[in-house]
Amino acid sequence: MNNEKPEQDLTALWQQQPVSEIDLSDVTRRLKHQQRFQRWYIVSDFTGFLIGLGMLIYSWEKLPLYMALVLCGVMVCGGVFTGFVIWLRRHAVLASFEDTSHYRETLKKQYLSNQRIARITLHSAWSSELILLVIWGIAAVVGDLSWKSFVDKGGVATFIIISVLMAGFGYWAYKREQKFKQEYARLVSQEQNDLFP
Amino acid sequence: MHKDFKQILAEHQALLSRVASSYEANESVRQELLQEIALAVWQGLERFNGDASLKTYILKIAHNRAVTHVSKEVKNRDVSQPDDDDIVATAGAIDEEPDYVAARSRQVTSLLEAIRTLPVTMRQVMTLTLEGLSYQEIAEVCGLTKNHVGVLLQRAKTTLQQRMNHE
Repeated sequence: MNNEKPEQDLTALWQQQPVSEIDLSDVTRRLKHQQRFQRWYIVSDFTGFLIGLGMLIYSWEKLPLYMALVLCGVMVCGGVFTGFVIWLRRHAVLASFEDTSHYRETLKKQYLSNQRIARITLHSAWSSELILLVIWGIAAVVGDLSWKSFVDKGGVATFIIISVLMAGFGYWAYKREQKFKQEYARLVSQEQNDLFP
Repeated sequence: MHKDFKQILAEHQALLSRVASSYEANESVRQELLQEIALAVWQGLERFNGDASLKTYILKIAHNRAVTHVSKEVKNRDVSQPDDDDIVATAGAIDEEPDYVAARSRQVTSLLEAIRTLPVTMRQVMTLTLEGLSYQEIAEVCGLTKNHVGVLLQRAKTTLQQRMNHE
């Protein structure tokens, strides 16, 4: 069977399809928009961490030992998490210049990592409430906080507000996890019929 | 420098448009994908060091962006809706008989639909061949061996012919 003629026919057909024009002014606008967002991501990644660190250093001598230890633990976890997210983002950008097989593998890993991050975020929502309760509990046990002063300082209202916020935050994280699961599944389904996956 | 990037994009817009059409049937979403691809290529051009040809480098970025698009976009809408009905084959359309142009346009639509049903690696190998890339260049873009490219291409051609003949 001679395959040259059919290939020429297909090539001719392929080249006859109508093509669209690129809107270069729109691309320029998107590029500037994206650059602004990337700078904002970097700033927002670091700002929360640096503010927390600054406050910890500033109030270090006023803090009881248990509070300083808990906050140090939270800062270390937050720092590691921030570093991991930044590394993932940079890794994803650089992978887009690799060959397509390598890129798909990176994309799959990225979707899986994003799922894990979303799950960690989901669990951080309820665990941060738990940490708050533990801190208040320890403060009560060591005599730094009585129920009356807790109520007078708005502790109950604070707890309710944080609970509502964390519930919303947890739901948002859950939806993100589902989204990344779907994207991963779609990517895999594109490949499943390949002869040599 | 940005002016050069714009010029490169303008020179390759037909090529990039065909990449977009191999992944996306819906016209408005396809145009959106083309803009996304153009943006990715523009960003990628800053890192181009001349190790490979510009065309293969651009195609690599374009296909990578398109794969991301497919995994993100499809869940949001019904992909079975008819999208390529208005296609009119371009080359030679002015002087030729309307019946011939109509038949040719149906063939183009049929080819595009068949290509979009191929698994992603096979689709990439097939469309890169249709763009005139050598086995070596396709292997470089897709991260495959030349033999693997040959096998995938043969299977893709057979599948395409079967699917186009069925329609």
